[in-house]
Amino acid sequence: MKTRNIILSAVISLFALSSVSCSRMLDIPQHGVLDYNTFYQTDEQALEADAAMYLEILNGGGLGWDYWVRLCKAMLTDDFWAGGSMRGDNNDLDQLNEFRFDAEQDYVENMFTSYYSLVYKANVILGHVSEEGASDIAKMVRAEAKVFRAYAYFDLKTLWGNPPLVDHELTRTQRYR
Amino acid sequence: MRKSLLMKMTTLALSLLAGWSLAAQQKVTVSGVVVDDQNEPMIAAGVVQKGTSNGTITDLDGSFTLTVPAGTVIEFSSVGYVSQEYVASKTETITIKMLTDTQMIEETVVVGYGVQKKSDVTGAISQVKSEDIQNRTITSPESALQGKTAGVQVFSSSARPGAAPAVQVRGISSNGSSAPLYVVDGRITTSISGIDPNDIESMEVLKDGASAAIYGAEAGNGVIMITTRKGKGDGKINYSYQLTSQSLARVPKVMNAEEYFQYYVENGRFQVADLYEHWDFKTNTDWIGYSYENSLMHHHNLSFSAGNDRGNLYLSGTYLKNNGMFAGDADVYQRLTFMVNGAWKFKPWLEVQTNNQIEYYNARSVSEGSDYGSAVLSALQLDPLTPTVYSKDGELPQNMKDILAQGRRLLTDENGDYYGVSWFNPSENVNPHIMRDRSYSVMNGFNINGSTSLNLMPIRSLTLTSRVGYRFSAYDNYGYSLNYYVNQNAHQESIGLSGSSNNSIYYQWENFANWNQAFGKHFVNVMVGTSFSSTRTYSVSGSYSGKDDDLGVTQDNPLFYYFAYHSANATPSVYGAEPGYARKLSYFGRASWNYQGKYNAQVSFRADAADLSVLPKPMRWGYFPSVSAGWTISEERFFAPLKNVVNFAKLRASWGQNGSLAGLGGYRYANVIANTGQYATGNGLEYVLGYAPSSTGNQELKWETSEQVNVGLDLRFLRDRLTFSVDWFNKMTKDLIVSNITPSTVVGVTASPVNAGNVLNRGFEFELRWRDTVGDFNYSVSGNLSTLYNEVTYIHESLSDGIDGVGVRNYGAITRFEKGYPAWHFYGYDFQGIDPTNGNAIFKDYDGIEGVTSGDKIDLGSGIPKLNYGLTLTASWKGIDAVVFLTGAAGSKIYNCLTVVDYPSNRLSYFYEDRWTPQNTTGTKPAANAANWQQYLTSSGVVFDGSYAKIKQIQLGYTLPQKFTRKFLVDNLRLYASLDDWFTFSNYIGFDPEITGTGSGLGVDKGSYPTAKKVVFGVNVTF
Repeated sequence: MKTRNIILSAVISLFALSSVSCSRMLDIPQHGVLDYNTFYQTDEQALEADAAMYLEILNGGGLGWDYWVRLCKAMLTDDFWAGGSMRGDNNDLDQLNEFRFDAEQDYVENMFTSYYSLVYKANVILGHVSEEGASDIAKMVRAEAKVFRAYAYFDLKTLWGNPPLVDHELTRTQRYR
Repeated sequence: MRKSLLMKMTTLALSLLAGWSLAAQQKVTVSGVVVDDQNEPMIAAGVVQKGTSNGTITDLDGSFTLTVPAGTVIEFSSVGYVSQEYVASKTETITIKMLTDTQMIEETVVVGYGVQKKSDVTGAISQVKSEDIQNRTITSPESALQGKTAGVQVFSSSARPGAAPAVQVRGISSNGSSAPLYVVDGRITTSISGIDPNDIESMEVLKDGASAAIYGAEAGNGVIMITTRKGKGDGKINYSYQLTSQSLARVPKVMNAEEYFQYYVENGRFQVADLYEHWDFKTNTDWIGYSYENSLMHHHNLSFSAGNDRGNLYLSGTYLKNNGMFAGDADVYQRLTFMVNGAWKFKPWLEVQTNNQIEYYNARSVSEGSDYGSAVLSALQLDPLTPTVYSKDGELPQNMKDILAQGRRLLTDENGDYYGVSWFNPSENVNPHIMRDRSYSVMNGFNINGSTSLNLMPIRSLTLTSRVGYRFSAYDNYGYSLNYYVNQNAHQESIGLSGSSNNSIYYQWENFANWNQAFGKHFVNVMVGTSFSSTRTYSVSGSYSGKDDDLGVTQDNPLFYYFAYHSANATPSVYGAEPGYARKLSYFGRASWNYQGKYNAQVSFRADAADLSVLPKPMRWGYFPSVSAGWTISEERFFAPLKNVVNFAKLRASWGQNGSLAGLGGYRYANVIANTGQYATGNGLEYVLGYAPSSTGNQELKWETSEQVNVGLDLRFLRDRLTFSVDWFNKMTKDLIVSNITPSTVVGVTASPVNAGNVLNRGFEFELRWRDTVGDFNYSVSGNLSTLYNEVTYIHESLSDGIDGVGVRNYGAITRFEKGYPAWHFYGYDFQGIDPTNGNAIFKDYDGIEGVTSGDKIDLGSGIPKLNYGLTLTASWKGIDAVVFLTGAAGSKIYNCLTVVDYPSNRLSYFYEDRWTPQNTTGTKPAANAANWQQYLTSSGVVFDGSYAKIKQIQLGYTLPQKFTRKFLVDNLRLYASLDDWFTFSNYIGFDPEITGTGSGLGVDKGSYPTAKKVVFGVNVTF
């Protein structure tokens, strides 16, 4: 009898304990990231955001603008020919050579999204690195953001004619229009 | 304690009474033999004077002797047999024949956190018993579900040794994973391939929302409960051995040497002069025959089983070795498993149970299932003009001599002869033996898993259970790739080394209480509980690769192909070494009510909380209720006249909500700043790190929910010989987690996943079984049939074009997840026919724009079968038994992706026959030199009917007479032979209509390891 009661009360307390202590274990912190709400405050963080714009051109889309932008523009000229081991080996570039591509073609689409990635990064800087009381470095970073954004729109306008104007980070409802 | 005192008093009183009556009455002695329905003597059958403890059991010959007062009743009983009574009127010798209980013995069904009587079940639960799993050539338990129960579809993406299939219960409900939840003896897991099928007692599939709801957030795709064998009986030792010979079942037809050359001359790729220069006019290589050979699989199993009403023990060990069909030993799977199950009632109110599985495995495999670099595909694509090997003593062709002259390595076979390198085809799919030999990789791993529980019964109606489940799992990979040269698409300059080590630890702790109470004719069961689980994963991987002319290792010798012996210029890379965690907390409860076996009702509720990596903290909790009811019409008074024909009729209905974890994890909802790389500035090597938001963030992300309605009817006729059940279900999965959505392209950053998709699955399931005995002949026929209608009913506005699934090489996507169509339906051009003037394919124009444009792509069908069926026939007569098992699917399509246009690769004969040529202008296939082959390969021209029927097993067995084997101490010896996967009825032109991709590539055939047809010999011995 006694042993039974002891074990019974032990089990019931286990029940209670397990439910309380375990809920805190669900809060697992994430590795390798910084908090969005507290970034863009110091000079060092402003420079890091700035570097992100350069890196967009260097690595954007995985292969960088050298591949997605420069190669695409080059294919549209008569300086370059697609080549490959035989006809059809590089179908997308053949299409650019011969001007028989449509809006969904890989290179064209990636170029478009690359420009807007750069515009996004510039908008993030302009929206978060404050203008008032900015240090010299912050002012420089804001100016560079404006330059990069202008460069992207220069290309967008000359290649697409009338692209949408995005000058701030789009909110949730604006994103899907 | 009080109880046993009462017992003692009763026994004393009875014996006094008995003794008193014995003194007063005359006694008779009845002796004889008890036999079973096969006229074999029954050992240890109970022979008892009814109502008393005066009894005995039959001995090894089935004989007994019992002395009882005249006129009393002797009762003969044995588990599984109908009890018999005999009035003892005089001293005599008799023979009693016991018949097996063909009625449904009150079977029990395992449900979540408890057990229910089968007649009380109000949901849709299918059972697969051990007789459907035994003695088959399946190595993984999931395969046992195919064709044995309605509503479960089993898809294999590969039949290579060690591959486990993908299971789908009631359709595809998600754009992410559709895998069901597996529960092994109460332990929740995602993988059951390490459990040997012979160790499984039964598998229950909880198909509808209400029965699965008790598992809440992970149960949206159904729950499969596996109960492993427990010890029972007097102590039995069982050994079985199965030897299987495997060979290729269906061989696709490809072009032969002459056809190949003619085709590519028409194509313009070669000229007749090339033929004279590079072909000896004799070679006509059968690459498929060269790549596949007959192979053997061995399966040994030894088990010990014993149990009584206090406890039981089951020990089992299995060894499996499967050398796959691919030539050589590059595809081998070896596995050693142990199972230790035990239980003991220490006190009448305390029971401890433990179930453990230990597995060690070792696997090697060849490349498959990919457009680029697949050994399985290369056997179909290599040209027949190239011989398999060139003798090392003979004359090598010029292209191979050039390779050697440049100082590169040509791979050789074990005799030193060089593997043939094709002059004609420079694709990356080369001689299959080169693809096998150019790299070596092996995986070793072990799993130790199980569950241990403590059951307390402080009062008779209450059971408290505390259960701990665990899984310790580790595996490592080691591999190297050689330097070799074949052509500009298949070569490597130096030796590459790679290795990885991974482990994961999972544990779960559950505490729940079951309370059963009868109130007059009402019976109530209430269960409440809580569960916590945690997983920790950790892996490290690395590689070394040489540069340019550097070999990568210090010596060109396999004993030096390890990291420690890398060459000076070789560069390492390391990944991982970051522990990952996943945790879950849940509360659940269930109440069921039963009135006199006539009316049943059940309600359940579960609340699940996910950890921070899965959902944002405010959205962490998900709530999953369910309700179900049943009405046993046959127990009603108005039903009485029908009862001789329809013994049992039950109507049931249920509604439930479950969740799913698919597409979650990795903090994908979070809006955080992450590193994007480092940028060099200044004249020195100064780096600045770049940081930018990684995604838009979605703090409103929540659980994916599946809501299901199920209505079913169960009927049993003619003394339970005929059983029939039908179910209709409607399952709506909402709030699918959709990732990689493209909000407007001007947003500029990847979007976090949102809940924006709905999938509908609806269908009927039928199960029919007839069992009967005619004298010594027993037979049964069971069949099942299920229909499925699947449609994506909603998807986020920005994805009105659907989400692209898999593609073919770089020709474009061919499957899509799109509103109004089945999940991952096929998508491409509508092939109308061949233009008789030039042999080009004609496609229907749908968007009005001239020429073939992306707007002309339409729905081409789906890889999901509309109908699945299975049929099992069993028969036994005296010692002979036979089984025939057939399964099939209809209404599905297969996208054949075995053809390329980039290179002059060999093609299926289908494309050669009746192709357009200037002499055959009515041809139905494009000309060899047609201009739009790439579009043809993404059109309905390569979508074929995927319906098939396969006779998966034909088995004949013979059990030697027990009288004979018992002389050698063998209780039971059965020999059997079987033909597995032998006949396939299908029009499909590839290897195997059953093996295609899974998930987003469902129905897409890119050349996966095909199913073998098998000849099996086996023996089961019981001591």
